[in-house]
Amino acid sequence: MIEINYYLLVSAVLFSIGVIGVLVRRNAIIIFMCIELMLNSINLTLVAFSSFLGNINGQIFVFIVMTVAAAEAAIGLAIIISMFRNKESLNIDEINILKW
Amino acid sequence: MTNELLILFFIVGIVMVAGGMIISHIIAPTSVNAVKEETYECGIPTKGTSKIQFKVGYYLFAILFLIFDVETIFMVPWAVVMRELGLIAFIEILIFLFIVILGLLYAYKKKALVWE
Amino acid sequence: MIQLHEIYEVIPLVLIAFAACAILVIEAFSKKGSSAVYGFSIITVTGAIAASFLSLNKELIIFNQFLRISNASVMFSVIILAGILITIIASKNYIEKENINFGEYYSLILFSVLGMMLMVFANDLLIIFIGLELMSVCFYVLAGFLRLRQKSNESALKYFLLGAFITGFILYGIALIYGISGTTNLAELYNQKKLFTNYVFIIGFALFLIGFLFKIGVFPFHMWIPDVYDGAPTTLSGMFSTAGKIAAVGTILPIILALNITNFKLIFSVAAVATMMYGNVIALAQSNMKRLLAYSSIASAGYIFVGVAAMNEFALKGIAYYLIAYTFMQLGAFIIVSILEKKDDGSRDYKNVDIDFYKGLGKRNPLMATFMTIFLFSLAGIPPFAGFWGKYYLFYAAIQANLIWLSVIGILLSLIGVYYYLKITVYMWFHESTDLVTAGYEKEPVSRSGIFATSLAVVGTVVLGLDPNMFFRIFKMIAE
Repeated sequence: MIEINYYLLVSAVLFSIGVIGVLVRRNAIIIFMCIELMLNSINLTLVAFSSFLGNINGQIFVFIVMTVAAAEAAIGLAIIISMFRNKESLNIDEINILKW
Repeated sequence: MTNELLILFFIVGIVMVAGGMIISHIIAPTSVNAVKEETYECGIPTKGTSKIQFKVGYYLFAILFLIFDVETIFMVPWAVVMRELGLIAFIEILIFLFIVILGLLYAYKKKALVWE
Repeated sequence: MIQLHEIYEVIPLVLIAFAACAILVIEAFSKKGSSAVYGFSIITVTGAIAASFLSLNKELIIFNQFLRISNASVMFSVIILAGILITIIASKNYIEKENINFGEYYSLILFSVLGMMLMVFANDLLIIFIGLELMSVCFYVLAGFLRLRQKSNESALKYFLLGAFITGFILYGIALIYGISGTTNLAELYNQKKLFTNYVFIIGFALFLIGFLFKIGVFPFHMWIPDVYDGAPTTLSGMFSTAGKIAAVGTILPIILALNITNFKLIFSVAAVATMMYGNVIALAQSNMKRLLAYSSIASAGYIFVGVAAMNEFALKGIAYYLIAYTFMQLGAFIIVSILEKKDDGSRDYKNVDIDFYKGLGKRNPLMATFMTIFLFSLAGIPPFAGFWGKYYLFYAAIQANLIWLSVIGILLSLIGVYYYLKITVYMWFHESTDLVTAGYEKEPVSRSGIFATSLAVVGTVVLGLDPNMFFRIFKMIAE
């Protein structure tokens, strides 16, 4: 039996990797993948808590999070494609016509 | 006791893999030439760059697949406890399926499913 | 177990969900369905407003404790629906002008309203999350609806990346709250004592709160607002800045009041001051009307947070009043910008949205100039318009909560705001039009739907300003 702290630690580390990835990477797709990593690390937290508390709510939450992540992925990829068609670049440093 | 076994397992695993790689690196005959360094493409010479554009149709299929793939996540838990939940849950899953089918119908009428 | 009669309590939600799906089908099957879709969505939203009043004076927890109907939530949902109704009415001529006359436009708006109403009716963190995502995902698409225009694309991409990033924080917050309290149900959460002695819970709640501060656009989390509102189609910028923010306020405010977190008072006050200062000061330097209104909406978020920091019963009333006034004036101003915007000529940029274009508008288009003046005066907080009473109630609530310094700073900062609102008014009435503008002006088509929508907003702004208690009186009357 592994203690809950280890699960929480792993998921916190994964979450932080995702956050750092969003902050330092420059390609829109990779940023998006880092966001997905964040969401999946949260799923791990929820499942760990659910098993620890003996309460099913957390696992139901995970279902919803996975569905929402899929919906977000579909929308996000569509937005990124339409951006690419106009701009022919996915580097977010070049996406800079809107400022001030 | 289990911890010691685990550490032993770890060490043996690392030694087996790393040792194999090192030994093969030492004893294997090597030859470097221009043809060997080329990108392999079924034996024929490669053409153009590797960054080519795919047809946009693929994206639509990928996006649609993403959505319809995930619907299973709601179907399977329902199917497991279908008998206990009874009629109301059955009606609810029908409503859910109806909405999903509406989406499919929309995609069909917008010609997102046509392979051109 | 779900009881079938519980569906009667959520008729507005069912109506909107049904209509949103139906519009997609109508759009797919008919060749020229768009005008039918327009009428259909107006009827649906009007019906939903009427049906909302049926749920007044009921304190109910329904659907396996997932939804809660209370007077406050009904009030917020009515305000949201009013904003949406005006947006939809104004949209017809605008989307024809911009060549984006698709039925999906209305369908996405209705889906996003469904999300907002789920949020304000939620009694469970799960439902809040679903509602928030339903709203946000529709907003991402709507922001990029002008898909040939780089600005619109960019706004959608920025909104999407930042919004999804923040969703991660909200979710992590919810996960920690769930882990500590063992429940996602809000009513059960309120009953638990000593939650705030656990630092993990505080971290979780703070993460949850950060997500909502982002959606409302409060100081350190406001950077996306000008970019997104600038790039999105103009009527939709109006909708994001009103309905979207109201939904976020309507969700987080009851939670803050019920948890009674007086420790956070100082944080909210500082956030309010910083937000008001940032919005009002940066707005002074803007030369683009959409950007100026975006900064003005940041300033408004600051005023709302003065009320949130007060955390008393005056605050709830003040915030509700300010939100309804804000819906009319902010949305009205954005719609006027959308009416005056130049027709899409394939140039891939918004035309005629600079402040210079508004010089001499009083001579060219007296009706629109008068309406704009009313909205700007109301936003500036000049009596007798609704915006004045909104700010009055909010600052009054702060004074009642012994936050006199906060209301003094708030009043001083809103005086800065008066400057840039009056600057545009002076441009409209006392400056001559530049030659470039007058040359191409006469050819612009009249936007009947836009004028009708702004007239509604003007009526709202003026009537609520002349009789500030009317809004609450109507609620009371219908309730009895």
